[in-house]
Amino acid sequence: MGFTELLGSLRTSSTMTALKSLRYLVAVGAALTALWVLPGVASAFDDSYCGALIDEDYWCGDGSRHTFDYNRAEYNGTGNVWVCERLLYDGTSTVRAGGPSCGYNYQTRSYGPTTSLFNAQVTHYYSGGARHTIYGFASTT
Amino acid sequence: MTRHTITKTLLVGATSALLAGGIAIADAATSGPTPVQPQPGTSYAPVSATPQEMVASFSALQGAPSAGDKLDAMAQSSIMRGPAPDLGANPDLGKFAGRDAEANLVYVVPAQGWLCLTGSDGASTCNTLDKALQGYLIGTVQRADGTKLVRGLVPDGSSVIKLMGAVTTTVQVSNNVYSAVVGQDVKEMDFTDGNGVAHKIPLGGPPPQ
Repeated sequence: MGFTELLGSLRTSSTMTALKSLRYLVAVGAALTALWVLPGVASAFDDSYCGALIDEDYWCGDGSRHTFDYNRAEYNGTGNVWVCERLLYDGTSTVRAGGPSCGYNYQTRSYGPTTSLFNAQVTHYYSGGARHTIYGFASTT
Repeated sequence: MTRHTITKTLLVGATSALLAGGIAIADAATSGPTPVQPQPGTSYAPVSATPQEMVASFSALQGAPSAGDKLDAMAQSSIMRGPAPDLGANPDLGKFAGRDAEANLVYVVPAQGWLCLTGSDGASTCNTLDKALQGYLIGTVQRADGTKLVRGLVPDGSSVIKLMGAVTTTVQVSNNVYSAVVGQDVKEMDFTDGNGVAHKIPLGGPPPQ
C-alpha cells in the first residue's frame, strides 16, 4: 500500500468513525427527547395550570397525563374561598385515593409514589355563585 | 420553568429579608406579620423564627421544636413542595400537635404571615394568621366511604368546636387542633374564641361528582 492509498484509507476510516459517532449522538438525543416529551416517562415534571376565572363547582384541569404525586389548589384574592384539589386516573372519572382534599385558600396534597397516569384538577366551592381565579400546580418526583 | 426554579426578584428578596430578620411590619387588619402573597414564579425564604404574634394566640407553637416535633416524611413533602416556597413555611419550626381522627400525625407549621396545618397523610391547609384566628384554617379529606376527615386549628381559649349537620358533633380541641370524621351533611363549624366571640365557619367538601 502506497502512502496515498494509506492516507485515503485513514480518511475513510475517520469519516466512518465520525458518522458512527454522529449517528450515536442523534440516537441518544432522540431517546432523551422522547423521555422528556412522552408523558408518564419523564423523571420530574412540574405543571402550573388553571390560573383562570372559573365558576364554582367547575373542575379546572391541567389536561396532561403524568405520574403526579403532588397537587395544589390556591386562591390568592381577598376573603376566604373553599378550594379543592384532586387527581383523576387518566381517561376516567375515578379519583385517586386520598382525595379530593379541600380547605380555605391554600390546599396542598402529597400523594405516595405511583406509576399510574393522572390528570390534575382544582376547583372552588360554596362561593355563593361567584367566580374566582384558582391556581393549580401539580408535579411528579 | 416553574415557580420553584425561578430566581427571586429583588423586591421579593428584600421583603423576605425583612421578614426573615424578624422585623414586624404592622398590618392594617391585625398586628401580626404581613403575610406574603403567593405568586406564580415567586419563592420566599423560610420564616427564620416563629412570630410572637402566632405563639401568643396558638400555644401549640410555644417552645423550641424538639426531636418529637420533626415532621414525618409525607408531612415534610407536603410542606416542602408548596408552602415552603410559596409562603415561606419553615418545617423546622413545626410543632407536633397530636393525632387526628384517622390517627395521622398532625403538625402546625409557621410561614411568612401564614400558618399551615399538615398531616402525615400528606394533606396541608394554610391560611393567613388573621384568618386562622377567625377559624378559617380548616381542611377536609374525602374518604372512600363517602365521609370526610375534618382537621382544623382554632386559637387559644377554644376548648371545643361544634360540627353542625343533621346532628351536632362536639369535638374537643387539643393543642389548638381538632379533628373528626363526619358525613357530607356537616356544613358548618362553630366555635367561640377566648374573647367570647362566636364564629360560624362554612364547611365544605368536594363538589358532588
